[in-house]
Amino acid sequence: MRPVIRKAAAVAASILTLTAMTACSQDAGADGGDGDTVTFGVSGPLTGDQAQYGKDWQAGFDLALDELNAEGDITYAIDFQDSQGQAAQATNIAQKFVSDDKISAVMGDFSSATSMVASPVYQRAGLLQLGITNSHPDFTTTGDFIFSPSITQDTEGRVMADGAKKLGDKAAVFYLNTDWGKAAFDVFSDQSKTNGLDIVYSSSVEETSTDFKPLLLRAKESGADVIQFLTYYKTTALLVQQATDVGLTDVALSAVGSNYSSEFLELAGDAAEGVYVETSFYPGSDNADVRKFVDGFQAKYDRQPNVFSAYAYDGLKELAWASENSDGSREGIRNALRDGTEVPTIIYGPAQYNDERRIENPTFTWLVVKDGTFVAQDPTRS
Amino acid sequence: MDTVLAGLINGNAYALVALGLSLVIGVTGIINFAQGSLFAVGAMVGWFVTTSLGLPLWLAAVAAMVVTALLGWVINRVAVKPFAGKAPIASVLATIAIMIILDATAELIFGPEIRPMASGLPTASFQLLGLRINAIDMVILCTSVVLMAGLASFLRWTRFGRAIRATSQDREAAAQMGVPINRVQSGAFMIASALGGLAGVLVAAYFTTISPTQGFTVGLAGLAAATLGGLGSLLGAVIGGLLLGVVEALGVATFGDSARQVITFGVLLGCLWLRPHGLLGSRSVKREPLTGTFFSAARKITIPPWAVAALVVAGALPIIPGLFSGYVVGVGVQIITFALAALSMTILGGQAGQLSLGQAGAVALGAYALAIMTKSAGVPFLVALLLAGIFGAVVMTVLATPSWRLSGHYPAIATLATGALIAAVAQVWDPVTGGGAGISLIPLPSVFGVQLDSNTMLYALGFVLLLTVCWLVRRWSNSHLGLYWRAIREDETAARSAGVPTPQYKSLAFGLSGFIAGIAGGFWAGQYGYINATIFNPLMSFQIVIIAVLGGMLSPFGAILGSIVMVGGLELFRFSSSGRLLVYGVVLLLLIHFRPQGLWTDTGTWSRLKQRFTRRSTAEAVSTHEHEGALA
Repeated sequence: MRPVIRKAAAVAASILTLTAMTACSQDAGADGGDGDTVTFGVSGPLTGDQAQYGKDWQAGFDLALDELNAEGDITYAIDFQDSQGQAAQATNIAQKFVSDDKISAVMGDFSSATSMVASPVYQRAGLLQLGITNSHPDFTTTGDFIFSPSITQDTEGRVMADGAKKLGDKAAVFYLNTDWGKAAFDVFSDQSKTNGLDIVYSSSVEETSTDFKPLLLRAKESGADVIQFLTYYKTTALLVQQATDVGLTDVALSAVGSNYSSEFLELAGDAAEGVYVETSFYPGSDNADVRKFVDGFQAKYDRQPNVFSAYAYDGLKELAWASENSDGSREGIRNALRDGTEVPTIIYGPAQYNDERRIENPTFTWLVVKDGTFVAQDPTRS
Repeated sequence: MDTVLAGLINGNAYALVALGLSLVIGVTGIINFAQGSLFAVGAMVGWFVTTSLGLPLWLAAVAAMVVTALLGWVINRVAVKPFAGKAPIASVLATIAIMIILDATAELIFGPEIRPMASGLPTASFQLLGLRINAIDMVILCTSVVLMAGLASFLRWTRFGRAIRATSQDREAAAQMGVPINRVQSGAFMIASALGGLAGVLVAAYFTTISPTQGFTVGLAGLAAATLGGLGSLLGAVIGGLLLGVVEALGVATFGDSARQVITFGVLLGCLWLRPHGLLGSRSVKREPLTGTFFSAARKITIPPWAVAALVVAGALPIIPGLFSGYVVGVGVQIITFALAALSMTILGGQAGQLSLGQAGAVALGAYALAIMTKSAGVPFLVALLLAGIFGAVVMTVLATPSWRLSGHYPAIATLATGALIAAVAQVWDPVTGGGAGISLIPLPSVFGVQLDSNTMLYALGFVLLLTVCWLVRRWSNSHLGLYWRAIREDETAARSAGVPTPQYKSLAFGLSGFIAGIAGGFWAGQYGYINATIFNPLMSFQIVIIAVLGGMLSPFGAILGSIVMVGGLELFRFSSSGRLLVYGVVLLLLIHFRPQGLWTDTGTWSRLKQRFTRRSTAEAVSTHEHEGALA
């Protein structure tokens, strides 16, 4: 009989483990149940290759929370869950959020591909997913609970291609080998057919790579007079530095809007000089709300906000606005965002979501790096 | 020509990392997976000294070497020495655990952000063949040359160097001749780690940016370079590193950056097929029993039918809607997915005694096959799942066949390269796999006309799959197949002389494990609705091996238990995002220390405990034990 007892104990232990897990995960959801607190879920990368962008978000959220909680009697809070930028984690987090009644709406994930995996979960549960940085053209197509304030690559890619055409005739293009990068490149090359820009060289690059000299040498041989980077700032910084190293000095450089960040300047150093970027968010603007955000950010963190922080700040403010202008239910928040004609944003000013749940008619400003800072300047041939 | 030059500079970094790896393999016979993490640590120390403190680069290099040498000593003490003379796989898993711990700690201390690094070197440069040569390029090249020459003469002419060489030639003989092999081993570890740290500083100064996650990629490339040159050969490591750098640069220039991994692992695998010991490796065959030695100290636990029934009922509970929250059921689905993948190792490792560090490749094959079939061709889910399994089986058998000539560490590295190559091909093969964009909007599984659109239904599907696969594994193990496999596992030469056609049975083990992994991949794809190549990276392969080994590979339940602990357990630490991986690494290390045979195995601890409480005579306990062993 003894072996039986031993095995029974083993079985009991495994069942105990299972129940303990269940219990623990239920406990985890039970904190901070204040009546007047409105909680928004955030699914984003706090560790892993994209962790830096998650920290940028966090800075924007914290500033927005400071402002919101200082002004009204409603307390706002966020529940930031680390997805490591991985699709599998994002789905788990989505499950966690939809089954947690305290979560009124959700922001994230960082990359479109990761967000889109979680979208069906949010859509089925009727929980608003605001993809604050999700620029994939198909992101909002999952359903009517999926919104994004981010400019689509379709819009941005055309703006970029037209800008590059003003800088030169023959372009070399580097794009990230991700969902985002490939979609951006498709739109870019499509628009270049229309405006007569000749793409003489193009290559995808990996986010994990650090050595790009062989590719830049090829770009140099191709005789390009403008190089376009459809990459995030960490990769762009390496590319512009190594471009100088291989002797690509007399070409115009242009990078996608998200490179507009102090981190890019810091990482790229002198090599950043003369790089053009286009942006929907320009902190040099005179607009009072923009000034309040930029000054507040500068005071809190002692640096300029980048576009990721701005999207995070805006996203939280938009959700808070939607919550105040509705009954605060999950569906009410969605309806407020859908029907609002003047949703407050700093990036676009008072904005409106169209039928595709995207911002209607965004505007852009061109900037160039001069003496280590970004200054507003339209692209022209030098 | 300028591309070759760019490749040489990059290859230098690989050579330095490969040197460290090869030195350690020569002396201890262990692949130190933490070498890449030491590289990252070196880079961060370098950043701290030059950029934060503003001190010169040479001082940073010295500081980095001291820090990493100390870490090397610790690694030897914690992850290698305790397992000396025991199963090498325990050490390999322990270095993987160290790698996870180091990377997680680095991220905790330095934060995840990429930092600019000021090398403090003059920016002066001159033109050579159209390529601008900077001061740092010269520094890297000169340091490497001086270092390699220094290391070579150190090994050749000093007493300690000779001791290292003697130990790596024949450990036992060296010990008998009075060489203090323990001291030699920690010395070799410290030198190797310092090399990794130095490479980190130099490469950080070269690229002028550092990030805590960069070590993994470099570590893999270093391993590829070391294997290419021949494990244990120092000259081979240098040549392998430079060669890999140049081939990569030329390949990347022609096919684009995304082809880099395909080139690295393609070259590695091709080289192993043509020259099984690398370019300069010695021909001496070192047998590495790997998983085999795991079982001497452990017995299989047989679960009686009533307990099986109870487990099935307990496992089926989440299928009842509303009993658990959607999140818990979601975690349950993940546990099932990884348990399925780990079951493929139960066949391969537990039965046939083969180690695979590339199971993620087989999972990827199944996932892509199912995604393409259900999305583009509209094949019904269950049919597609079966075909995905068969696809995994066929491709894994074909890819594993040329590796039969390999011995020692090489088969494990060949599987690692195979797995990584499959993922790398998926990353670049745009028309079929969607490349970096992956495949999204894969239809949800539907079985007999019912679409499984809730977690509970997916769990039910997974649970049925899991039971089926467990049953299959059990059947195969208990048939004559299992008998032959275990014969190969225990003693391959003896099995062959007894007339067992070993290559064929090994192929069969790879095929059947590919089948199970393919099913796991198919379930993965159907359930997430989105896949891309980065999901199936070598870390996933490691995770599968970890689950299988720590759960216990003797019975299918081990894989399930391992998955509950390592996948489900990790969810408990969701409250602390940065500490989560650290905890994972520490738990892994502790488990390897205290339960290297796996959780679900009988090591006699129970009987000893029982004996203490019931005061039965030793003889009686032993006889019961033997009886049990015979039954199992």
